[in-house]
Amino acid sequence: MKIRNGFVSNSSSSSFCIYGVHISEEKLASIVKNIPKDVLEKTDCWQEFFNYDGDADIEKTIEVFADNCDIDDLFGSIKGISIEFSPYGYYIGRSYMTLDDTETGKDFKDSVENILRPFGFEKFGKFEEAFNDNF
Amino acid sequence: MKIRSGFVSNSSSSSFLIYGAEIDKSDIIEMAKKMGAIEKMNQDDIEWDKENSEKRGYTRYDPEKEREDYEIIEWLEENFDLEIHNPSYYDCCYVGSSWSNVGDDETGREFKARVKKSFEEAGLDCELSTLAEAWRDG
Repeated sequence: MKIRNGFVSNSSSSSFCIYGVHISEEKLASIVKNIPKDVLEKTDCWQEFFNYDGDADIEKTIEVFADNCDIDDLFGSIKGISIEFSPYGYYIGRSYMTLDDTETGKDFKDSVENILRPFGFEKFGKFEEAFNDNF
Repeated sequence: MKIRSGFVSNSSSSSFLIYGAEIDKSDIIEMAKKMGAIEKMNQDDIEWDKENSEKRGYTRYDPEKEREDYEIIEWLEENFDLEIHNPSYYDCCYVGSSWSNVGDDETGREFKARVKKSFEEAGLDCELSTLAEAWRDG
């Protein structure tokens, strides 16, 4: 049987299939401002920021961090977690492409929830979307 | 908080992330016909007519009817636990199962084996891999 190696010609599009959360910009901003300090301290992005400004008042530092942090840096620094943005808000989770041979579907979902719940995320689910990049 | 700008604009787009293979549509149709898809579809129509034609006022079975490719593809999807994506104006199909169908108690390896079995049952013999694609519908 002949197997095709080409690809769809009009495919200037972004797509993803993740298990995680779909969240608006406003809700995400609120979550970032309220991330517990002990959770923030485990992220590489926070470590860099905190070390740079380590002597500052901690509450003030968190506020400044929340105001200035880059969402990609914050969640992209968490191993296995990817962030996708769209006209409808953000999708944060783990791509099904990373599910490995020995991992069950439940293990996969649990791994995402265990990472993201401490940040305050809820309402987890499967999200499969595509957006055109050309406009 | 920094919000990324330069959003992609939405449009009618389709996408998938499957474990499966990319196969010429003509090969799939030919394979389905070899497996007796047309005869089985006709038989399904005859049985539907027995149960429904009187109250619905019409029949489905027509011995002269030419089956459209999309009907044969739908028949394959319904009978072999496979999903088949056929982008408009594209002469091949992406056949397989979405990674999001991995069962809670199923490992990635078991999922791949399940998809492989569906291919074999459908008479499709090919190497499988993870495929992701997106395209504009309009």
